[in-house]
Amino acid sequence: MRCVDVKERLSAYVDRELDAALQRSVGEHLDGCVRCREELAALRAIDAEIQALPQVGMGPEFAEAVTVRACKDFLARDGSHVVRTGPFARLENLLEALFEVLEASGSVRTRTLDEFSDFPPLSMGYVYCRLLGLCTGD
Amino acid sequence: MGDPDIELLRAIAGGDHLAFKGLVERYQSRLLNFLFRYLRDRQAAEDLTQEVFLKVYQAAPRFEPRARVRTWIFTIAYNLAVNELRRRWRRRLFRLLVPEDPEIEAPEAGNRLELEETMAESLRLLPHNQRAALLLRVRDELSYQEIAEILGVSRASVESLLFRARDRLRRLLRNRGAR
Repeated sequence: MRCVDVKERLSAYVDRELDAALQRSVGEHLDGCVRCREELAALRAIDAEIQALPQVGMGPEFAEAVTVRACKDFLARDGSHVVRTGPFARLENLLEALFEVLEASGSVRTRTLDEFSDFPPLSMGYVYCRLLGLCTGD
Repeated sequence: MGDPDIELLRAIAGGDHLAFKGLVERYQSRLLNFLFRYLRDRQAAEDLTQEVFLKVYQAAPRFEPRARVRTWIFTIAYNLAVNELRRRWRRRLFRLLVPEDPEIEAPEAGNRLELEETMAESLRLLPHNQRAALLLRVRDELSYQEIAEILGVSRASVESLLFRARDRLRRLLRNRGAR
């Protein structure tokens, strides 16, 4: 293998994502090529630096808070938590989802329109929403 | 291929709140860190992490185990993050058309300390899909196939994205004198 071919494959070689024969060929080339070994070392150093970036963490109450919110949202949407089983479960789920969509289309504010709520006042997006009657102008 | 999270997801679909809490605890740190490094915004990363789990809870009964659960969860996170970037882009565009009060720009200045971190800043300069692929591979150790499913591209594209990401990152760091 030539250095230029190896260089293109070094990234996948580092990740061990080449097929076995190619992984072996690149390895053999690396055994005898100082420049490609330097390239490899540079790639590994970059990976090590990315891995070393400091971790951020959630507060200890996060999991509990999300669980409570998920349950509340679910109950608010469905009224009761029913898990369907049986031969017609899929059909029932489909019909339920269809009715949800039909109901949502009749209401002024739907979930998909939430993303428009952050348009700055008097911007084109905001004016467009107002024209369509989607923003309440509050 | 055994997926240890499948049973957890089935339990969630059956209304098991403790299973859901277990899944949150299992993935909250990985998702938060992925979203933080991808968006470079701690608050947005926290909000989206929460949104990912709410979507998982709602969609658990409909999950079909064609993909691994973690691939599915990261796909939701990636899609939300891409939407967030698009929303920001739109917002920036409209601010150009209709300038707002200068105080609205103030939160941007709060990121100066983070900019000092050379690697983090260089990561930010990568194209979005390259950055996502690199973070998913190096920080979360996902396979090329999993990353391909998350980004919605072919496995060969992932290989190319990672090659270009590392190559570009190396040149960026060299130009900044870190290499």
